[in-house]
Parts: sequence; C-alpha cells; structure tokens
Amino acid sequence: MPKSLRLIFVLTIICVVSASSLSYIYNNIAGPIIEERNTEAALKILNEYLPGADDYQFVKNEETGKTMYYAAIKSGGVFGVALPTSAMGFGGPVELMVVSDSSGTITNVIVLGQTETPGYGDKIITQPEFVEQFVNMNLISDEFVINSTVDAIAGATVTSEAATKAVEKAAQFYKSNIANGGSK
Amino acid sequence: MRSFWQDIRNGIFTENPVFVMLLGMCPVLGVTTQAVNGIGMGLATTFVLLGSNLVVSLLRKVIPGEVRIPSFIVVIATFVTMVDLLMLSYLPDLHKVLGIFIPLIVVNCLILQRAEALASKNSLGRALGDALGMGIGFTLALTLLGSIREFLGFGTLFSITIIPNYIPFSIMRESTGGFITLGLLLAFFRWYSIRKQRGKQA
Repeated sequence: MPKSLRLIFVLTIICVVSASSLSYIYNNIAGPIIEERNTEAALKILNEYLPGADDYQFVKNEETGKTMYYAAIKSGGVFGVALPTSAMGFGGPVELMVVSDSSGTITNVIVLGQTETPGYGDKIITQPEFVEQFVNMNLISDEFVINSTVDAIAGATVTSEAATKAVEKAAQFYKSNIANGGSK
Repeated sequence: MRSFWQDIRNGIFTENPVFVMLLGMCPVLGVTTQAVNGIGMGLATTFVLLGSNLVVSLLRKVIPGEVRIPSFIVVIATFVTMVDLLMLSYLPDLHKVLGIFIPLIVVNCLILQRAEALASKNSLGRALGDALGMGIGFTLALTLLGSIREFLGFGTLFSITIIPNYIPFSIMRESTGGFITLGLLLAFFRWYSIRKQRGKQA
C-alpha cells in the first residue's frame, strides 16, 4: 500500500471508531438520562409557577425537535405558558423562563442560569426586585426597553440589558406564535 | 527501566504539570474558585489522560508519523466528549459549574504533550503509570489552588463554613485571584526546591 493511502486509511479508521463509540454512548447511556432530566427540571418549574394544570404540553419545533415553550392545560384550554429565553450578558448567556397567563400578562420571570460577574451581574439573582418589574407587564401590548419601561440594576447594566432583551425576545415569539389562539 | 511508582511520583512532584511544567493553565485559573471544582476538573482530566495514553500507546506502531497529531487529537476529543456526556448525565451540578472547561480539555496541552512525548514512544505500562501520576499531580494542584481561593473568597472549604459571617475577599473569586494565588504558590515551590538543592550540595 502506498504511503499516502496508508495515512488516509489509518486516520479514517480512527475517526470511524471514535464516532461510532460516541454515538453508542450518546444513544444508549447519556442521551435518555439527559432528556429525562431536562423534562423533570421543566416540570418542576411548571408545577411551581403554573400549578393546578391537568396536563403540561411541551410544544416542540418540528424541524429541530427542541422544546420552544410549555403550555399548561386545564379542562381543554391553555391557561398559561412558560417561554424559555436567553440573551448574551457580560459573562455568557442569561437564561430566563417567562411565565404568563393566557392573556399574555407576565406572572413570573425566573432566572434559570447565568454566569455573570460575582458581586455585580449576579445581582439579577440577589436583587429579585429587578425581575419582579416584569410581573403584570403584558407580552403583547408592552415593550421591554431598558431604562425606559424597565429600570436597570445599578452596577449591573449589561446584565439588566441582557435580561430585558431576553424578555423582549420572548414577547416577539409570543406575538408571532402563540397570541390570538394561534398555537402554531 | 523506570518503575510504575517512579512514574507516579514523577507526575506528582518532579514534573508536576501545574507547579513545575506550567501546562494547562486555562482550567487551572478558570475553575479553581472552589475546592470541589478543582477535584472534579482534575478527575475529568485524569480520565482523559488515562484513556488517551492507553489508546495512543497501543496504536503507537500503527499510526504513521505524518498524521500522528490529528490522530492524537481525535483520540483525545473522543474521550473528552465521553466525559462531557457522562458528567452531564450523572453529575449535572458539577457539569453546570465546570461548563465550557470540560470541552476545553481537548486543547489542554498537558494531554497532547503526554501523548506526544511519552505514550507514543513507550509501552502500555509506562503510559498508564505516567497518565495516573500526571492526573493525580494535576488534581492535587487544582484542589490546593481551589481550597486557598475558596477559603479566602468565600470563607468556606469544600462548601463547609469555616468562618461564619465572613466578609469575602472577592478578588479571589475571579481569575485575577487565580493568577495571584498561582504566582505565590509557584514562588513558594521554587524557593523550597532551591533550598533543598542547596542543602544537598552543602
């Protein structure tokens, strides 16, 4: 076998073995556990902030299979939705869950994850007054603009901006996909 | 021929990857804000080192010299992805804290250096001994760094409160504190080893 063919052959074999062992682990060991844990975590939040539902529906994007939002259903109708959303903050994405009732009025904004600077950006968690500002605002009729409709946290401007942008994103999504009964 | 124990001692003391060779500084500074993170990162790196040294040593006669670096990287990346997936399934809390630093083990020069300099030229036994020694040395160094930073930055050790109502020395929680602590520790170990050598000469 010529040298150049040997190089290609060896590298290809290594890559094939590597890819197949990883896909085995993902499909048979890790994948189901991760899926289950994500579902469990989402259900915990839904039970806490949208209690009393008969069923929770996980609305998935048909192309990617990713959950776009969660709908809480009681006696056949949707009475509340929870929208996961995120925007880039200072040290990484600020991940939020926006919970609203069926009219689009926000009942809760929960910080799911953040990697902001300790002592500054993490005031988004230690100062809950900030996310409480969003409560009772409406996803359809209100605009979410930092320092005009929402007050920023002193010393955590970038983080406040990110959170506000994330809520605005959720509002846009709500308007185009969920509002007016169009649960597309 | 060097024995297994010599290889292990070599990794912990003589050629400690952090304090002597200064390899893999990115996770060293990034994750050592708490002692537990240091242990987690150290063990993950040890697993990858063991796996990559094992495979590279077994394949050292099969892999042609021209493609050895891409082959090593693929082998290392495979083990890193395994750690990433398994940690996400079984230790999700630790995975959340270590975050981006887990996939970054791929580019930790410590692992590639051990594959290139040792495992690709030596027998399986030596490669495994070296991986274990380097892994333990790396874990100990990260845990030491993490303990000091956690104690000064939070007043706790392994999440147990040592000083109640501690006013945090918050620079220690950020990478700046990592650099300062690492610098002081390096100076200390240098001073110690020089003093020891002088003692031998006298």
